[in-house]
Amino acid sequence: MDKQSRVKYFDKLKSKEPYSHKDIYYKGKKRKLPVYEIDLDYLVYNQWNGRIASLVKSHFKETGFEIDATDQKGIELIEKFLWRSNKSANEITKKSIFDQGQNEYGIVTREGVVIDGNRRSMILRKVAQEKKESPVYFLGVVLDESLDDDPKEIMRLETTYQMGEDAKVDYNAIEKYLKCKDLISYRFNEKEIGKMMGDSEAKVKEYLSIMNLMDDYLDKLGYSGIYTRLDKTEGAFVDLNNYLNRYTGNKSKIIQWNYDESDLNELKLIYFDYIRGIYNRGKQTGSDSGDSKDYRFIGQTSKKGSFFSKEDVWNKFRDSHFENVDAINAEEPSIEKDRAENPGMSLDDLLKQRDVRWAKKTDAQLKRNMGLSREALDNINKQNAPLELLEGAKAKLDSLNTEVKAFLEDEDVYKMVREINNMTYEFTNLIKVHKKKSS
Amino acid sequence: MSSVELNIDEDRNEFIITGDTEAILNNRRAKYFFQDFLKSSFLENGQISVPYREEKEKDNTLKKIQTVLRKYKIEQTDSAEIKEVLDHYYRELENFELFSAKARGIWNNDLDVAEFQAFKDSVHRHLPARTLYPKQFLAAFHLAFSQNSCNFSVPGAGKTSVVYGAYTYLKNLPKDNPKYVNKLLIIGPLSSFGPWEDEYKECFGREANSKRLSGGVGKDERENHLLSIEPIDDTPELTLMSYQSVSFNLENLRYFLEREDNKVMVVLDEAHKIKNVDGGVWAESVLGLAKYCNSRVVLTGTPVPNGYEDIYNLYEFIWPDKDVINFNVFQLKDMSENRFDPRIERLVNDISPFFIRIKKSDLGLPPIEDHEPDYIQMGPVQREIYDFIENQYIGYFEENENVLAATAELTKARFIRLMQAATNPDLLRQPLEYFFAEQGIQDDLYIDDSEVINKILRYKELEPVPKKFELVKNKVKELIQSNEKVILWGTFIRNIKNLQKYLAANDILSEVLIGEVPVERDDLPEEIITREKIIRRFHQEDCPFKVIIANPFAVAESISLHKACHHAIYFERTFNAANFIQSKDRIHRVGLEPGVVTHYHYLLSENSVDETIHRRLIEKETRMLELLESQEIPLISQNMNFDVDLENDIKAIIRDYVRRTTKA
Repeated sequence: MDKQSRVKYFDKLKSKEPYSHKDIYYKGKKRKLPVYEIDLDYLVYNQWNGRIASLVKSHFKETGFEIDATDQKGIELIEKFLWRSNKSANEITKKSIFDQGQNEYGIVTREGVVIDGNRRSMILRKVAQEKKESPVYFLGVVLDESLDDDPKEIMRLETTYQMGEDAKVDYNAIEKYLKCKDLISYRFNEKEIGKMMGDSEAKVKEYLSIMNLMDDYLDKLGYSGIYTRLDKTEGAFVDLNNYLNRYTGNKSKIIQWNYDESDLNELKLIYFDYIRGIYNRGKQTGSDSGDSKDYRFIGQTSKKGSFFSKEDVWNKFRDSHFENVDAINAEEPSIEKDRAENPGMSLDDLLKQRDVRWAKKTDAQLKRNMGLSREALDNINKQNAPLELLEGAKAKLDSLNTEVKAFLEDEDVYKMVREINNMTYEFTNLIKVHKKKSS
Repeated sequence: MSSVELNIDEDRNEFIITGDTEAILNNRRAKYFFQDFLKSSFLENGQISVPYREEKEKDNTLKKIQTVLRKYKIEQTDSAEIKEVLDHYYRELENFELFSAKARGIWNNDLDVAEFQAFKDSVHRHLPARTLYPKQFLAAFHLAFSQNSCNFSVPGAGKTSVVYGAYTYLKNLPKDNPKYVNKLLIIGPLSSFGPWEDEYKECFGREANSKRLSGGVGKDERENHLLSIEPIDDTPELTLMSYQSVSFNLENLRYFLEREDNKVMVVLDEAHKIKNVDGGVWAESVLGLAKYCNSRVVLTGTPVPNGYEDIYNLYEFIWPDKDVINFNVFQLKDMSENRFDPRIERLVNDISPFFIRIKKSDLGLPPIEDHEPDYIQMGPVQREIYDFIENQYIGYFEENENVLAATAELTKARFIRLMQAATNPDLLRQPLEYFFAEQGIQDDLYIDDSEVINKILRYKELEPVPKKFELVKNKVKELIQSNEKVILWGTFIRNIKNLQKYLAANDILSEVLIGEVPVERDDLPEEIITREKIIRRFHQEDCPFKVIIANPFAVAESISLHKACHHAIYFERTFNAANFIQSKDRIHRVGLEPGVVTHYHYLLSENSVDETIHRRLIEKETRMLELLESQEIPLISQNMNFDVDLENDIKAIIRDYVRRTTKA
């Protein structure tokens, strides 16, 4: 159906009595807008919907074609993406719509592009097919504008409804970052974006910084724009971003040596390798499966330190890593070669298989190096253990209330105090004897 | 072996790397460092372009490029052009290597004997009025040959002479020698200006041609000096300036330092004062000048008053951007917290070649005699007042284990007294209780001090002269009769002034050195008596006054009286050990004739806090000296806090009080 006839349909629809009303913050203030029963056939999915952005972008990157949401093939693709974006939530919504119909009103533009309610309209359609109903109605507000009239305002509205306080179904983690990046390209500033997403300006800046790292990771692998390759990796990027921020500018005391930017560069590259390895090695069983959060020991900012915090541990870890992994990298076939050899496979799947193959090859090395370095770090931490333990014990003793009966009159307390007294006396003697011997 | 070559394109603000750039591109660590951190472009012809945004980023970017190439063992050469453009950078780099090797050699006792002898001869010739002692010679040699260095010697080690020794050697080098200098810029506290000028005369045997730029010197005058176009030989040799004024005169100072014929040795005196004062403005501005100096000197006896982070800026000044200290400020702070931190050894190793430290024991000073204290019995009224205060206040501390809460209570009482006195001192005769009652406040903690305050108000009638004053007078008289001069140290300004009056009434003339006596300045009228004038006069044979009464807060640093007097009498002290030790050093320092014994006398009121203070100061002094003498870089705060140890001082007061009162 072309745009004109859709606009005509909606203009006519709006002259009818509304089904209900919905409060929307629109164009600077809260408004009560009429809700209509809209024939599903006149709706167009919004392919730029943040929920499926990584899939849509990866598809574009792979094929070079933008999806046409008005064409049957495009519609099917978008429906597939929408369903895939969060299957379990979709199942729940489907059951609810099957039993009760649509509860939440959506929002569409003047030409029928769904701003809020893409997922619901997709499920409505599925349910209608199962129930063999026709026509099917979608309940939603019809805006006065079309997408082209005021893209910025529509974008804002969309973000508010999809990412903001009203985000009913959790998005795939990656989409949030993509959304920020998109909005920046639409010349929203961080503060505006924060407002739409119900986040602080600082948080948006953090999202953008994480997005940069994700792009950087994909670029370095030659996977630019294939965001599907970031599936489930969000946590690792959040961590890495945090470490790099903390350590940039050489202002951290957690790191015990005078590193420079080239060391941060290496930290990042190693981290990228571990992300690629850990998230692609698949489910493993047995004692050597390793904890997927192990990568934190590489750079974490906690007081216990990380490999990066101790110069000696880091140097060994780093040298072993690059020596072995670079050798494996040198043997990895190029993407072009892989594509040529596997012409039928989609790019998305092919890259995934590349990662799986690489993860298998590097797995032993990554794990071994991780294990050795953890042991080295533990040993260093143990050196400080006596003082730490004693400080802890002293703090506990300090907190005793020595004025209460429970302290003064309890025989057991007295015994315990004597025992502690004896222990410390012995400790002192041990140290004295040792000092004498060694002097 | 193939290598990459560094070039610079100044028009486009970029460095260009040519040659075997494959070595970079095939190393993913190097490649991504250039790409992500240096924002480089990899050109189609294989060259790599590394941009720098502004002029001042140039050195830094170059440093990063060179560091990373070295890290990944990629051979590198510099084009002739880049060497020319960044001449300054390369010279500093070369100097750093050359001079630090020299410094390391001296530090390791690996001297070129002939060179050292030549140095000594030159200094002998050009510093006619002063003979350096061996350690000073070594320190001056170290400074002259390392060109930039720190001197962390103890107070009284004669750091000023060391600087003049090195300076005169460098000044008498041929003018085309790159190490040649011909001017001195001293940046230090106002009180240091006098000593620098006096010492000049004592070293060179002639008045210094000096110019002070701080302390009442107008803007025009400063500008005229710094921007002078007079022949170099006609401009003052010595320029003296305070840390504070550096930041206001940065541009002019830069001009001054860069003037063609001006080869300036810049000295930071009492350099610990630049650390983090005034939000770091002083430090930043002083550091900004570093690269324009021909020679850089840092002087301080206490390089790490708080922690290792304190030396960071000192080293940034002597060798900017050379990372002599391989830790950041946060790491240094962290290291200061743990005496066993293994990094400390590395730090001390790294900084060692660049500093010289003469300890007190190196000075070979003639002995001192700490006399047993003289005890004074208070007059009956004084005793009564003292006991009252002690009973009330100390008893109070004793009962209230929480010292802070007790202090707060006392403070409150004092505030009320203060408010009362502001309107009508007669109110002081009333007990505080009245005030609390008037205000409807139930306060069990008040101290009834009205009766005592009455006595205090009449104290002068009841006992016109405190007993301690009498003993001071007797001791001073004795010393003057045996032809000695003497310095008296006190704490309270009013006591100092009253003592001066009392001594005068007994025909003993004295001068006081306290905060309100001005430091010498060019703009002060001739008739104003300054600290310097008092000290100069004191040194003269026919000086009418034989006594100086001083307050260690005002003059514990940077005055020397050892040539004039060998007796100090302490009639009043606080718990502050740093001040105490410094005040002792005023008469016990380099330049004393052999065999001259320096005497310290202590006057204590019997059964009073005087005894506690005395005991605590001995404890603190012993520990502090042990520490200063035992470590190369003594970290004071790590071991103890000498200046403020209120908790333990108050505990000592209470213990002594309890001992005395239960004995009775």
